[in-house]
Parts: sequence; structure tokens; C-alpha cells
Amino acid sequence: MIPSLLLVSEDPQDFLKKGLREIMEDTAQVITSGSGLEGLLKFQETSPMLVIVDSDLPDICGASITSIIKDTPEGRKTIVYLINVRSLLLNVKADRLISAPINYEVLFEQVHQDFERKLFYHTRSAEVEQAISNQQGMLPSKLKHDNFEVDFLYSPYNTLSGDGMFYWYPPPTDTKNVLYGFLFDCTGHDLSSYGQAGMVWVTLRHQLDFLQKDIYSNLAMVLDSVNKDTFRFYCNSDEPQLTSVIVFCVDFLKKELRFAPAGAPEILIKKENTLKRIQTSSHPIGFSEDTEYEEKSVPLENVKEIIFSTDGLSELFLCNQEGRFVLHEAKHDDVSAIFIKLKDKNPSTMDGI
Amino acid sequence: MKYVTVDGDTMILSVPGNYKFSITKAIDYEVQTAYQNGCTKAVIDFNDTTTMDSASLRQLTKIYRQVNKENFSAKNAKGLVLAVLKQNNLENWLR
Repeated sequence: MIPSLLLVSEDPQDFLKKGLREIMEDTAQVITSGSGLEGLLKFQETSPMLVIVDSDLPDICGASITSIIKDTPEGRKTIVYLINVRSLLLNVKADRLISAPINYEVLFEQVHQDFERKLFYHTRSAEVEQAISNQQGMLPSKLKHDNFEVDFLYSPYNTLSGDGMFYWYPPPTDTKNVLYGFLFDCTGHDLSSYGQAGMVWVTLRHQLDFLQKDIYSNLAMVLDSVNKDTFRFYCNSDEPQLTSVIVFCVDFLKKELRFAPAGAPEILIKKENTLKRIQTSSHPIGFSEDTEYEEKSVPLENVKEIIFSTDGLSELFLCNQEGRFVLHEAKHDDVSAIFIKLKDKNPSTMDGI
Repeated sequence: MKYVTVDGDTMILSVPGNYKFSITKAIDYEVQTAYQNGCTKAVIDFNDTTTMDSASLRQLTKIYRQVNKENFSAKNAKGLVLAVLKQNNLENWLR
């Protein structure tokens, strides 16, 4: 059965219908209905993946139509828009509310994205479910210790993330007391980037382990190995396989943060009353086999928190000179971050910060 | 073509607004057409580009490799686009 989108609107100039047919192209059939009651019957008959209901209908209030649809078993699996909203009513169950006057460019773009996402999930649901489960299983746990805590943020753009992260804290000894970790961002989202993300995760974990075991002497060697592995793994591909990465060690004995970036966004360091941004500049993994990576270090004196993030989060903070946010979409990428909070300890304690 | 113009042996790629994953396919098609029309050089004009993501960076890296670095350049990068280039140590693309 061809996937379908249902438009319930009088739409006297067929503007919406034409616009939707243009953006859907060969992806879906656009079915139309000029009244609420007819729309409900067509919904039952055609089981569309997405429904757009106009608030202004000749017979039944559009908001009620959306709630009737969403209360059905089929409707719970359908994305429902209510457009031309002028005031909010109670019990509106539409997934998306579009106020009047409609910005058609944004509406069509949003519909297209929602439909693609729905279609992707619908056609590969078993595969996607397994992949989601695998990705969730690779996430770290929150850590809580006497001298630090680690938490994370993980929000895939579209069900599956091209980002990944991990951190761990081996039992400290007299000579070593280090938190190890990494955060990365592969190109794209969905199943294709999920595969690359899985490969990168395993490679980074493996290589960073060599550092923990003192086989590598610094973080730059970790990135160098991951970079070479990427070129070996994808040697037959014409497409560059770029990944932005940051690997780090928080050394509690030496009281320093060591890190090595590969196309990673800035690192945020919070002290008592200040927020310092450490800019990084390096080629991402997979850009060139000859890239030379560098390990850098920052003392942890008076540091309260360290934040690593992928650009999905760091870009959301960017403002222009007037202090206004410059992005034109609420969120347009996977969002991932690691938050390391350092605790003040009794100065007499040896491993305090 | 919407994103690529051809000037002799040079293609000029200009992407208004958000240069992101969803339009890379259309751009790829136009880039291939430019190669078929004899283009061996590429100039990326970021004048109207407000943001870019990893997918666009991958696409530009592919073009960079295909035309070779001496035949590749970029210009007019600012704001978020310039920040992305700096972050990835690609300011040398700008000439």
C-alpha cells in the first residue's frame, strides 16, 4: 500500500494540496477532504501516516477532529497537525499546532521531515528497534564519587543517533587516579550513521584502553590510531567518513584535564563565577590520513564543572551580537554532552581538587 | 541549476541559508553535472550560507578530494560557517 497523507481542509484555492503534493513527490499519496466528518471517514478508510486538519472546517471544529483521531488506536500511531490555530482550546490532542497566519515554507518543511521520519520507522521498524536497543546499551552510567560526579545528555535527532559517548573510572591507586572518556559525532543520522557510530565507539573504547594500560603515552596516539582505522575500514568507499571526536582524561593526582580534539566543538570550563570556552581547531577523524593530532592540558584549579558536547548542543548557544539566537530551527541535530562536576574536598585530603 | 553555476572550468557552489543533510543529494546531482560539463575546479561561496552541518562538511570534503586541493577554495565565510571551518582546522580553504 502506498503511504498516504490526509489533508482535511476546505482549501479553496488548492494551495495546500498542491504544496503538499509537490513536497511529497513520489513518497506518498495526498488524500483530501473538505469537511470534518468526511475527513474522519477517510481517515478510517486510508490509515494515513500523517493528517493535517484545518481549524476552520464547515461542519465540526478542527481541534475536535484532531482529538477524535488521536483517541483511536490507529490515530495514536499517526502524526496529527492542527493548522490555522487562533486560540487554544482544552483537550486538543494534535501533535503539532500551527498558528495563523501560516508560514507555508516552514509548514511544508516540517511536514516533509515528520513524514520521512515516520516512513523510515514504519518500513524498518524491527531493524530500528534493535538498533535503538543496541545504542541505549552502549550509553554510560551516571557516576558519583567523593571528588566528582559525571552525568550525560543524549537526544537523537531522529530515533537513532550518529553521536556516541563513554567514560569510566578505574579504581584509583597511589600512582594513578584518572577518569577516561570520549564523545563523538558521526555524519548524519538514522541507520547508516548508526553503523558508523557503532564502529567508532568500539574503536575509541579499544584505543583509549591502550592509554589506560600505558601502551600509549598520550591521547594524540589514540586519535591517530582511530583515524588510521577509519581509513582502513572505509578504504573502498568514495564517501569521506568524517567523525568529530574528543578524547579526555581527568587526572585527579596531577590535577589537570588532558584532551585531544578532532574537529570537536569548544569545551566549557565552569569556575566559581566564570565560564571559560576552550576553542579547538583540528581536522575531524577521516579527513586526512596524515593529520597530526595534539594532546592539550588545562589545570583544574578552581574548576567546578567541565562540559563536553557535540555541535548539536553547542550550536544552540550561539547568538549574534544583539544576543539573539541565530538558528532558524529549534533543533536540527543529535544532541549529546558529558557533564563532569568536580567537588571541593578538605584541603588536607590527598586526592581532592 | 539551483546551487551550482559553471564559469569555464570552475564550478561555483553557493548554498543559501542552512546547508544541511536534506539538500546534499540535490547538490551532489548538480556537482556531478558540473563535472560532466568539464569542471575541474571548485569555489565554495558561503556568502549566503548561514549554517552548515557535518553532512555538508562531508560533501565539501568529497569535492575537495575530487578536484584536488590546489583546485579547491572557499570564500565569504562568516558567523557559524566560519566557526565550523575553524573548529575543523579548514580555514586554509578560504582564499
